[in-house]
Amino acid sequence: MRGKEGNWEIWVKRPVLWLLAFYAGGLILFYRLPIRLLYIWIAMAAVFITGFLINRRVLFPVLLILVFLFGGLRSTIFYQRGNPLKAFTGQSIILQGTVRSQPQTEPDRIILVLETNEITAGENHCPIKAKVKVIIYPNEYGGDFSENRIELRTGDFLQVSGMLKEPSGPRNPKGFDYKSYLARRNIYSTLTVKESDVRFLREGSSLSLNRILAGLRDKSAEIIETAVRGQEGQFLKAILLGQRWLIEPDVIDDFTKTGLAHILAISGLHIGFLVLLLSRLQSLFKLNRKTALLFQILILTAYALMTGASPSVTRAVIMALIHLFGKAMERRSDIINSAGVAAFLILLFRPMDIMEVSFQLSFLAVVSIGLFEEPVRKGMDFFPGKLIPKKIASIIAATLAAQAGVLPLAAYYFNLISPVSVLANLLVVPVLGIVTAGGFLLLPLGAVLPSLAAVMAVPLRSLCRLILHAAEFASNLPLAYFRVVSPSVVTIIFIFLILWVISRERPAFIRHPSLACMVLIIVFLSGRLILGLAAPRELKVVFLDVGQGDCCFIQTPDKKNILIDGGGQAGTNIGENVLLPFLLKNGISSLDLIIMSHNHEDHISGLIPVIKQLKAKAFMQYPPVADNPVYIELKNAVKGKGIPIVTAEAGQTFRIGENTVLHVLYPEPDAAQALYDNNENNLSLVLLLEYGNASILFTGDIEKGVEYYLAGRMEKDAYVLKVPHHGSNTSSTDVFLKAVSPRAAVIQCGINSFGHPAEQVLERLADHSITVYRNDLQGAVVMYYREGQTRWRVETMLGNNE
Amino acid sequence: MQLRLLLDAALDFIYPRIYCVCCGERLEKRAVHGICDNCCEAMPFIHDPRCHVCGKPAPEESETCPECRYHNHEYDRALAVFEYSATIRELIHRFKYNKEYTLSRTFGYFMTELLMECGWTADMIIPVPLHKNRLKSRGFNQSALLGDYLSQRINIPCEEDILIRSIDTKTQTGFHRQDRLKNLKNAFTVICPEKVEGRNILLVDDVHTTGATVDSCSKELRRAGAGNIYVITAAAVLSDLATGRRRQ
Repeated sequence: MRGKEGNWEIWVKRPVLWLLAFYAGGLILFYRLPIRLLYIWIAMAAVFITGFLINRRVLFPVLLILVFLFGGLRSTIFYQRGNPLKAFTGQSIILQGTVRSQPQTEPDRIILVLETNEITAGENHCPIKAKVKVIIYPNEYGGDFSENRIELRTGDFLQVSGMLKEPSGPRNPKGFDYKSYLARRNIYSTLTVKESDVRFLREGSSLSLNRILAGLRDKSAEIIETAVRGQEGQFLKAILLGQRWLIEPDVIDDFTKTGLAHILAISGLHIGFLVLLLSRLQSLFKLNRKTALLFQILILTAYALMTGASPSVTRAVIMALIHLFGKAMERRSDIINSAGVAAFLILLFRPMDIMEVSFQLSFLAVVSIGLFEEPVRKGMDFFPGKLIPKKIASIIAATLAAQAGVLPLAAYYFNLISPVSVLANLLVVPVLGIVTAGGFLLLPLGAVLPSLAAVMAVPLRSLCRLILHAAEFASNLPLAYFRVVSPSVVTIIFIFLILWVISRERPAFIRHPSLACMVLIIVFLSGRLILGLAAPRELKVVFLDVGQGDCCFIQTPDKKNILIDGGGQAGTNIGENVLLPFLLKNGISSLDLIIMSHNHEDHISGLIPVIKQLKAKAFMQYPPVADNPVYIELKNAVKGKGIPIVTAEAGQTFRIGENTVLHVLYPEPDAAQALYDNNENNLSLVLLLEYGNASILFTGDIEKGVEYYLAGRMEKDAYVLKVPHHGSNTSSTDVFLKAVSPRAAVIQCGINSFGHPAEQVLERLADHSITVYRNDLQGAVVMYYREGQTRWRVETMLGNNE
Repeated sequence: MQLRLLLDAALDFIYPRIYCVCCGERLEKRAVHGICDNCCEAMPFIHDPRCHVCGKPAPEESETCPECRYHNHEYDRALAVFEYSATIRELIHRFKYNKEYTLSRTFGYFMTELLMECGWTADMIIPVPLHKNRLKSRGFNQSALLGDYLSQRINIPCEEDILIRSIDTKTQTGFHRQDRLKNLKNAFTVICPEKVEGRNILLVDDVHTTGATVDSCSKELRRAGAGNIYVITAAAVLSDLATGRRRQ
């Protein structure tokens, strides 16, 4: 008798991971690939037919190729789907539709997703089904919502009227891509309206599942509200109901910086505690196993749907269900395989989740826990005499293990590394266990016995406060976290390869992991070296979109980094939110020179966080006459870091890099005194940057007087002009434009109440046939110049050259 | 039965067999039978020399063991993979009563290996049947699962509808040889004798104790005109004599 290996012999393997890898590979590789759907269909059909005609032994490889192409198909379908409401963009329209999301009710706005049934533009009624993100503000700017406002709920039918807009893509290089973010949720339009523009038509059917879950959620929120007031209540709502938007941004910031952000999003930890609680209750009530399993499945599924089924909740619930089901089937679940099953299922239904930060972080964390938790925990056994108790050891091990996978991504997305996270998690995770379990008990209790719930809420509230304080405390510790530049995608892939090689799940052909690591590192380093040598040497000038304000980043061909102004607007932290992420995500952690054109807030406030958090070698300014609070803060920051201050004056020339010089044209002290006119704008540094034949004139906020003064003294033309004072009519005089005679001009302005840029200025620029780039319309303007070329290469982030 | 194994294979997608069925530790790659190297070493494999008839350990090669000299067996030859030790008893218990039917693969794997070594040629596999009442209460026939597995691996059809258990006998555990035989008298029936006539048959069961069950089956098959009758079981209970000799 002869035996043959059956095809279905799949022990010791995790075929799901292969399927997942090929499917995800298809999703990623075909993303934004301009390929026709038909070709993919043909390829799939060809593989299918040939695959099944040949030997059945290759069934699985054929399946893998099919799955890969299927991923590509999903990706391409998604990418090629356009905005169904494109024809209405920029028009005043009336929408009728159903609320599809859990409305995010914040104190000053409500955000919801509306699925339209009908759109009315003028006389036109169109029955188009499309999702629109609606943001509702109070009637009065900065005011409150009216008192008789109707609580909006999922399933409600509304009529909203306003101006339909298309969300914008990234406004700065490597900035947040709002357009893709919404597109992944099938949303291509936004509508910002006032409360009075919203008409409530009717409630949704109370029988729909969504409606029941929404009711459950609202009831739960109400119970928490009455039992636990204040910030602690909001925290509880966030971690139990997924209403993360209720938490104030600086609290979220504390959690992010200390590696505790996973606590604010419902994830494996919370679901784990819920499962633990359910199994305790099961033994308490002596339920039989099957009934208990049924209950657990129902509760977990309902819970995931109720909280909005974010990738991390869905992942955790699927994995928990696999585990529970396995217990009933006498099967042991494997954390990595379960994660693979969960990822495959999620991506099957929502393929574009693969691009979501929360999806990636959630899965990487759980996979690295699966890979490294046990070795790390066992490693801790070597401490003499059971120094570390078992429970604590497992928390430490899980945190450390999770960090291994999360670290590269945290660096990439948030530019953060948090050494404090192990300590913070050690403090917070056990407390969180009690809080989640207590919170889950509070919900049914509050519905039945509100008085008892109130008693129970007292310790719960203190524990919540403890967590909030712990996060704040940890974030204020020295060396709690530091900023890093985003590693490149290739670097991240190499890090994950190395992690894979050192884990016990490494591919079978690798016998010596340390050797393999060395090979990987050598390949990586030499690759970088070669790419570095091959990189083009060019001058790069980025006029960042900082809203209303000036900010320009210059990189010389020999990679010297210069920053001129940092933007700034009252009410938003441009430095933290725009400038710092821009620098770090583009790999810049130290600046060779920071230049302040003059000391107005819209030019300098963004510099403060940059100076505080990054390295800077010099700070250049012309001494201002009048102080202001922002400037004092800036000055203190510069002094605090011991950065040498360079005082610029007309006539100086600075060599800032290879073949790159910076001429100071203004202020000349005597002239400046005469032209000052009680306006700091007139003390703006006017700088001419020269690299080969390329030159840019930076003008700060100079006004007419300075322009006339300079017009007579311009020795050279400038190819590019940074239009003075955001395009205000008080500058950019004909005389000056003629004297500079630029070919292109950049206007750095955003939404403002000053009327920048002035119509007259735009006309004058047009009269001199100057190409105009505008931050408010085009986002950041990026200019490249390679030596020997005659023209600049200009890219605008939003692409539209209006 | 096929369906159950398919379902089982489908479950493998979600619950990969990457833990040792004995100790629960991670399996080494290629340990396709589901037992890790450490446990495998400790497994009570029955080695040569074996009894030429019952397959239990015997003093010398091709010699019959003392027991087989006293009692004639109805089958021609039998083989078993393991000695019925405490470990195996537990595994078989899990297999039969805890519905861990994936264990059929572990046992099946080693049974296939043994079959490939001995070079028997059979035309069909017949698993020792359960009475339909017992089948109902247990949900599956462990011998049929093993038979199915073997059929897949060695490419011989597994026939479950030829031999049936017509009398719901008491469980054999705790009976002595004579009682066992009495208990089993006329318990089995061959439904379609024409299918077995002149054919060589491989009987499959989980445990070979005194051989009463397989003898009973063989007797019926013989009466229906079967050719050679071979028996393969996952485990064999060794009599004191044999074990004594083995452990010397």
